[in-house]
Formats: sequence, C-alpha cells, structure tokens
Amino acid sequence: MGKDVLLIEDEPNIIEAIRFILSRDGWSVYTHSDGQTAFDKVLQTRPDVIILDVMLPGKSGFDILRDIRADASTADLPVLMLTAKGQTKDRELATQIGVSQFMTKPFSNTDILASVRELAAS
Amino acid sequence: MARLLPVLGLLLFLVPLLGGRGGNAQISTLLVYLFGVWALLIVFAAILARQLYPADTPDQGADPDGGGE
Amino acid sequence: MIDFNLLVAICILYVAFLFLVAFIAERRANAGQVGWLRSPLVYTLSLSVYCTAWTFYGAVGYAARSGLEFVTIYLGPTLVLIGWWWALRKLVRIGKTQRITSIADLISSRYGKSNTLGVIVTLLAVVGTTPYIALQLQSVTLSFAVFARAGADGWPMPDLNATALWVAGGLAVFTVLFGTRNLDTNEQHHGVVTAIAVEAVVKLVALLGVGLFVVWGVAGGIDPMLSRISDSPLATAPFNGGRWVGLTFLSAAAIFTLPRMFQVLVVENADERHLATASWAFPLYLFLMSLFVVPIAVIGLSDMPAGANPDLFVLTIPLSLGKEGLATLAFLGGFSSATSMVIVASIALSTMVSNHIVMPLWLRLQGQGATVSGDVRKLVLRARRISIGAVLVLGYLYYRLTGGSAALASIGLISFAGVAQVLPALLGGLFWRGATRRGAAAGLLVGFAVWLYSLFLPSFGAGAVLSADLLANGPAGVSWLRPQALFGVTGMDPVVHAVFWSMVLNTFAFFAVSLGGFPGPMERLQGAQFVNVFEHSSAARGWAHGGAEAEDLMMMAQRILGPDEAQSLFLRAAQEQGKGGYLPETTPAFLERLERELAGSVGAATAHAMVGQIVGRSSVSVEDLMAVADETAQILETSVRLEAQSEELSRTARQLQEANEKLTELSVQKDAFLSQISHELRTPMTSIRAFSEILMDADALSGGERGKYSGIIHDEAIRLTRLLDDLLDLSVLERGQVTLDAQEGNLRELIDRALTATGATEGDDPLIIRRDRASENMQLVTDTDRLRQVFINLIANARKYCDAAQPVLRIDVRRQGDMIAVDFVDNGSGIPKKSQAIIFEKFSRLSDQSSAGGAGLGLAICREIMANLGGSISYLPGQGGAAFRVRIPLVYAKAA
Repeated sequence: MGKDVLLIEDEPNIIEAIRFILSRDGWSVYTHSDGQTAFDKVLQTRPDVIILDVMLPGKSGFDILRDIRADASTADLPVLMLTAKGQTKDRELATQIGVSQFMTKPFSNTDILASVRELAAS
Repeated sequence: MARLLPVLGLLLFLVPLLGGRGGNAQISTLLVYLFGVWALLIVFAAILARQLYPADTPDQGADPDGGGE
Repeated sequence: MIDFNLLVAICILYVAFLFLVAFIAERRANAGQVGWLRSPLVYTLSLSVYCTAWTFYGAVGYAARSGLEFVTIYLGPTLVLIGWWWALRKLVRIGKTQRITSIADLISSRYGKSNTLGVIVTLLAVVGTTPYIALQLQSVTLSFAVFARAGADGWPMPDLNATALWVAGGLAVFTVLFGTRNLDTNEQHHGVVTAIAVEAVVKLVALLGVGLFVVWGVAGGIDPMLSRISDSPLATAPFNGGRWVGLTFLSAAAIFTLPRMFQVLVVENADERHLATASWAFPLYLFLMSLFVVPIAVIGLSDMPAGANPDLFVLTIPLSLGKEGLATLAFLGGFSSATSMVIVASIALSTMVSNHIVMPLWLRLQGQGATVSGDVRKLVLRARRISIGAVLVLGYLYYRLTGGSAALASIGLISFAGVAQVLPALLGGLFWRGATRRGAAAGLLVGFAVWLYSLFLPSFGAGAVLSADLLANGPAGVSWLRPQALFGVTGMDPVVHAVFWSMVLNTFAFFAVSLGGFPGPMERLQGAQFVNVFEHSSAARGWAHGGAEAEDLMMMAQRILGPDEAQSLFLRAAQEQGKGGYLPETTPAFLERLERELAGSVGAATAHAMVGQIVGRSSVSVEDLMAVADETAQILETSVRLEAQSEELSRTARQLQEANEKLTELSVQKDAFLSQISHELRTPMTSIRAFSEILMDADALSGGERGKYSGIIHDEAIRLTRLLDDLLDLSVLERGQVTLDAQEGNLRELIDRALTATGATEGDDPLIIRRDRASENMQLVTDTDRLRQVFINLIANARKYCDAAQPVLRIDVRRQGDMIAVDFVDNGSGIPKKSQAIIFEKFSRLSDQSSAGGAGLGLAICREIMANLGGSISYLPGQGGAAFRVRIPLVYAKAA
C-alpha cells in the first residue's frame, strides 16, 4: 500500500469523490485536469496507476493514452479509463490502444477501488 | 413611319433656306409657315406615340416594332 | 412701384414654396406613394430645364437681333424628340439596364468602364457648363436691376455682385438639401424633379401671359400683330442659311449631350413609356414657349426707347405699361428658368465629379481599397455636396470675371458647342460595335481642343486670352491656323465655323483611331450590350467565377449601400440560388448584379474597380468571350435556353449538395447527440452515486464533510433537473405546443432585465456592453418572458465564448417595417463559416470539450422560441465578431 495514483479528470466533484475513496484506502492521490499537459504530469509524477477520463479539455483521453503507450518509460503503466459516454465503440477504441481496464460512469465505489488495487498488484 | 417623321420635319424646316437668302419672303408668312409645320409635327408625333404605346400597356419595355435600331 | 424689399420678399416666398413642394414630394416618395410624382406629365415638364433664362429672356433678344433664327434652338430638340424611336429610346433603355448615373458614366461604361474617358467627359462638362451657370446668375441679377431702374422715385440700384452671390448661395443650399439627401441606387431625386416641374409651369404661364398681353393688349389682335411684324426691322434681318442649319444641328446635339438634359431625360426617367408622351408633349412645350417671342421682340423694338436691352423686353414692356403684376410674374418666370437649370446642372455635374474624379482618387489613395475603411456613403455624399458648392463658385467667379457683359445668346451657343463634342462618341457608342476607347478619347480631345481654340478662347475678346495678332494672322503668322478661319476657310460665321471644324475633326479622329485598333475584351462586351440593348435583356458579363469571398463583398457592399440594403440584396441572391443564410455563391451573375447595384451609387468604373479589388482580377473569362463571339440570333436563343437549363441544374445541384452536407452533418450530430446526452446525464450521476455511497457506508465522517458531500449531491441533482427541463422545453417548442403569453412590454426594459439576469450590470463584469438606449425605446406586444430568455442566452454566450482580450458586446436595435431587429455583436473571432449553418442545431457546441457550460441547447431553444413568436434569429456574417440578429414582430399575431 501507500502507492501513488494519478487522476486525470476535469469534473471537480468527481475528483473530490475519487480522491476521498482512494485516500481512505491509503493511496496518495495526485490530480490533473488539463488534457494538453496531462502527459507531462505523468512523466513528472511517475505514478503506479493512472485513472484517465475520456472527455478532457484540450486533448482527449484516447490521445493521452496513445502518448503513454508510445513512450518506452511509461508504456507498461497500468491505466484505468473512465467514460461517461458509454458507447461500445469507445471501449473498442480504448482496448485497441492498450488500455488496462475500462469503466463506465457512474461507477460503484467498491468497483473502482478493486480495480485500482488489482492494477497496482499486477 | 416613326423613323421617317424627323426626316420629314427636317426637310420642312429647311424650306426657308430656299427662298430665304433674297429676303423676298414675307417674314409673317414665314412665321406662320414654321409654326404651322411645327404644330403638325406635334400632332403626328402624338398620334404615333399613342399607336406605339397604347394607354396602359402592361409590359414596360416591350418592343412592338419587333426590333429597333 | 414695386419696391425692392417686396420683390425680395416675393422671391423668398416663392423659394419657400418650392422647398415645400420638394419636401412633400420627397416625403411621399419615401412613403412609397410615388404615383403622380412619376407621371409622364411631370417627366415632360422636368425636360423643360432645357429652357433656361436664355430662352426666357434671351430668345426675345435673339429675335430682336437676328429675326427668326432663334427658333432653330427649339427646332433641333423637336426633331430629336419626335424621332425618339430612333435614338432616345435606346439611350433610356441603356441608362436603365446599366444603371447609368451621368453622361460621363455612360461614355465610361460603354468603352470598357474606362475612367479616363469619364474624367475627360466630366472636365468637358464642367468647362462647358460653368459659363452657362454664370449666364443664369447674370440674368437674375439683371432682372433685379430692371425693377430698380423702373422705380423712378428709386430704390437704390442693388449691388449686382452681391445679388449674384446670394442667388448662388441659395441655390447651393437648395441643391444640397434635395439633390444629395440620399444615395439612391437609381440616383433619382423626386423632390427636385417635382420642384422643377412646378417651375416649368410657372415659366410657361409667365411667358404666355406676357405674350397674350402684347398681342391682344398692345397690338390689338392677331392681324394687326402680323402686319406690325412685317413692318418691323425683323423683316429685313439678314437670313443666314449656314447658321440656320448649324444651329438646328447644335441644339439637336444638345438634347443628347447637355449634362442637365441627360440627367432629366435618362437618369430621372421612371418609365420608358413616358418618353412616348414626351415625344409630342415636350415639342408642344417648346412650341408654346417660342410662340410669342417674335411679337414681344417686335413690340419691344418699336415701343421701347432706343437702346433698351432687348434681352429684357419680357420684363420692361409690362413694366413700362404699368402692368406690375404681369411684370412680377415674368420676373418669377425668369427666376424659375434660371434656378431650375442651375439646380439640375449642378446635381449632374456633382455626380460626375464625385464618381469619376473624387472616388477613383480616394480608391487609389486607400491602396487596399473598399474593404478597409469606413462608410463610403458618407464620403460620396460629402464629395457631392462639395462639388455642388464648387460648381456654383466656379459659375460665380466666371460671372465676376466676364463682368456679365456678353450678350446672353452667345454664351449659350458656346456652351452648346462645347458639350456637343461628346456626340460622336455617344452616338458611335450606341450604334457602332467597332468604336473603341482610344477612338472615343481621341475624338473627344481633338473636338475639345478645336472648340477651345476656335470658339471658347476667342469669345473672351481679342487680347484677353488670345492676342489680337494671333486672331488676325494665326499663331506665328501661319494663316491657315487662324482660330476663326481654320484651313483658310473664311467668311463663315464664327460659331458655325467652330462647330463645323470641331465636329468634323472630332468625328474623323474618332473613326480613324477606332478603325486603327481593336477594342479590348471589356469594350467588346460593353459594346455588344449597348448596341444590341434591345436583343440582350441580360446584363453585361465580365466576372469569371472567382475566388471572391462573399463575406468580403458583403462588408464592402454594406459600406456603400448601407447595411439594410446590402443584407437584403445578399439574402435575396442566396435565396434565389437556393441557399440559406446571407452569403450567396459568388457566381459571375451575382457579381454582375452586385456591381450594377454599386454602380448606381458610385458609377460603373468605380464599382468595377471595387469589385475587382476583392475578386482579385478584372479579366474576362473564356465563356464570356465566347458569348460575344456567338452572336447570331439563333445561337443566342439556344444559348439562352441552355443557360437557363444549366442555371436550373446547377441550382438544383447546389441545393442537393447543401442538403447532403446538412444530412451528413446531422447524422454526425445525431451520434454526437447520443454521446452528448449520455455524458451530460452520467456526469452528475457519477458524483451523486459516489457521494451517496460514501455517505452510506462511512460513519467516520465529520459533520462538515457530511454537509459538504450532501451539498454536492444536491447541486448535481439540480443540474440534472435543469438539463431535463431544457430538453422538455425544446421538444415542446419544436412541436409548437407551447402556450405563449402575449403582453405589452418595452424593449429597453426587456434588455435591461436580461442584462441584470446575466450579471452584466455588476461593476466588475469583464464584458463591456455598448448600447443606444434611446433607439431601444419601443413598445411591443409579445411573450416578454420568452423573448427575455432569448436575450439572456445571447448575452451569456457572448460572455462565455467571446475570446477578445477586452470583450465588448454591442446591442443595436432598429426598426424594419413591422419588425424590430436586435443585433448582438461581439468583438471576438466570430464563428467560422462552415459552422455558421449548424450552430442553431441541438447539442452543437462548437468546441468538443465541454467547459462548465450548458449542453449546447441554448441557441436551439432560442431558434424555436423566435419561430413561435413569429420572428427569427440568424447569424449575421461580416460584422467583425460573432453576431446574431433577432427579428421580432412589433405585434405578436397568433399563427392562424
């Protein structure tokens, strides 16, 4: 335990919720809200797990995931993607790019916690 | 006809030239002649205009003469 | 005795009456009640500007000096008018189809829209007309002096120069007021024309009154009159055949080429059929005007003291016989003749000067041209006003310089001969396809030079401009170059001599140079348009389908035609092409049409240059050249049909393409809509679910945390509700099931309340609002709550999306008939053209990333509300930022 999670998300209330859930479980939660600079933040914080929203201002979550997978130093990082659109073609696209796990909003608190734990362990 | 009218008028208006130089024509006769020709031309022109564009022709700019240089 | 003050008072009253007439006519025309203002009668009477003070006073003097010869000045116009079918009709038709604004514009337009020719003709007209204006000033001041002299107990002689100055100033004011009130696309001046028609009646009545008095009151009937004529010195007046023919020709030419005649005959013509009436009515008018000239001259010569000025017999005969009322009427007649000529001539000249000299200069100085700087209309109007003033100042100066000495008739003839130099280029342009720009310029310059040398300059007298030695022996002793005996031809009358040589050399140069070269493509096109005006009903072509940006053209057109007119022109054109919105395809046909509209305001050459600057070329396409080449009627007919078909096809294709684009766009939108609605619903639900779970299973929360989290749940629930409300609202509006609550309200208060609701009235608000509260003060009956909702939406949008460093929102209100238009214009970068068509669709948020904003339903709701209120909302391109126009009916009427 005591590992780092980077949460890339732009809705302040959702950030608040996830931060609460993960901190209570002993995670250090870093957050970032802007799509453009998200990948720099990844390089900078070197988290153990990334939670990534699809709809972000400046750059879409898919593009950020592509950047992560393209860079050798971050290619193996576990990434959990969240989307509110809930269309199957989004899930397919994410899988194709190489997402570790995919979750549709709204999620249950236990599910997201379990997913993060599982990703950190693998 | 419409095109001949000014030619006719021109010829009639040039008549004073024939006898004019000598000055033997009476000026009052000449005066009556000129104004008489003038009045006749006006009447002819009025009749022609009436024929070419009858009152209340709906189509403005129609070309009843069939071409008109 | 009528004293000076009374005479001045009568003058002022009369002028005030004319003002009133012009004012009422203008008002009626603006209200759309043109009716009798544009009748054949008014048209015919307006042609009477031909009869100036020269006719009114000068004809009698002319008859007293040279017998019957004066009548030639009226026989020429009579012949032209009764032969209207031959040339005048063509001139008027061309004037209408090409939107010609002056004779300079006609020549310039015919010869490939060449502005050089426009400038030459303008200069010629100014030089030729100035002495004539001086002549009018002189006649008015002389007539004042007659009354002064007649008063034996005597009011002092008025200062003639001061009188002339007052008259010139008054005329300038009148002309500026009614001649440059609007920049009409047709250049028609209802007020002025009506006033001129009234003056025409006054001068006719006055001259007939004096004539009847002389024949029956003095001579005692027709027979005694005729015998007195035969006994008079007129009977022995020398009869000069050369002058008889020459002057008839000259006066016939004047009808075509005098700038003021062109103005009333062609530019102010409302309907080609009026020409048919004028063809006999105007000769009749001239007939009546000249009927009593000889009797008045004869009685004047025998009854007036020797040495009396025969030019003023019309006034002095009734005065000397104590008929003061009649004399005053005659005075007003002369006054009318002078003023009407000056007014029309200065309008015509100012149009030429502003369109052919000021505007082109301005365009060149601007470099970049029409798209850059401010309102061109103001510039044009100002240029016209200044030109009017300048023309009158020139006339006044000429009057002072010549000292008002020369006999009236001689100035008139010199003037006629000057402007007649345009005739070869004009008639050649109307009837001969081979006439070229160079030919026209050569003819004009040669004719102008010969006229100057042989008639105009010598008219100042030996030693004034040309030395006596030069006049007698020719320059440097070359005798065949003597100004009044060119090529050794002596014994001719000076006027006839000058007219003969200037016209012969002018025509020769015109033909020789035209035959020696080929007309350019633009000249050929315009030539075909002019010569075959009755066969081609379509307008001149000339614009290749080019890269003109409709939006740039719109910006320029707004500056010249004014925003309302330009917008409606573009809207109409777009609709005819089957397109929505304000921006039509820049097809050659559209460019032609735009250019013609602009030409009505600034002249053909300038309009061509302005459009050329934006389109980026002024060449002629291959199709256009082929259109010129294929001229036989057969081919023309077929091609017209084909053109109509292909036009139809391309319109259908354009419609289809647009429909297809829209469908594709809609299908993409549909997908986006589903994603969007899913996103909009799931996002608040995510927070709600997460926090409610937190609240459920955590007992360890502090009271503060608990309160905070339940607050978030509450806010997100409200956000969800609002979204659902909007969706419901929209679907109700779309199905037209909404019940509207019409009530009376004030537009200004509505805008006030909308601004308050969006927080724009708070002091620290970054968005600056510009509005004109006075123009917003309008009552209207509508659903005020719904309308306010639209305003709030537009203001909130400007706040959210205007990307200027210092955002400014301008709110403009104006009345358009039964509708009010409210424009919301911000100073941001606006909405890209490709998106303008879809912003009113549901969920069409332009940037894909949602900021904290709404769900993209705002404008869609606005559109539905406005449709339900009987109005509309549209995007207004070309305003420099994002601009929306809301149109609301003044009174909401329930849809039937």
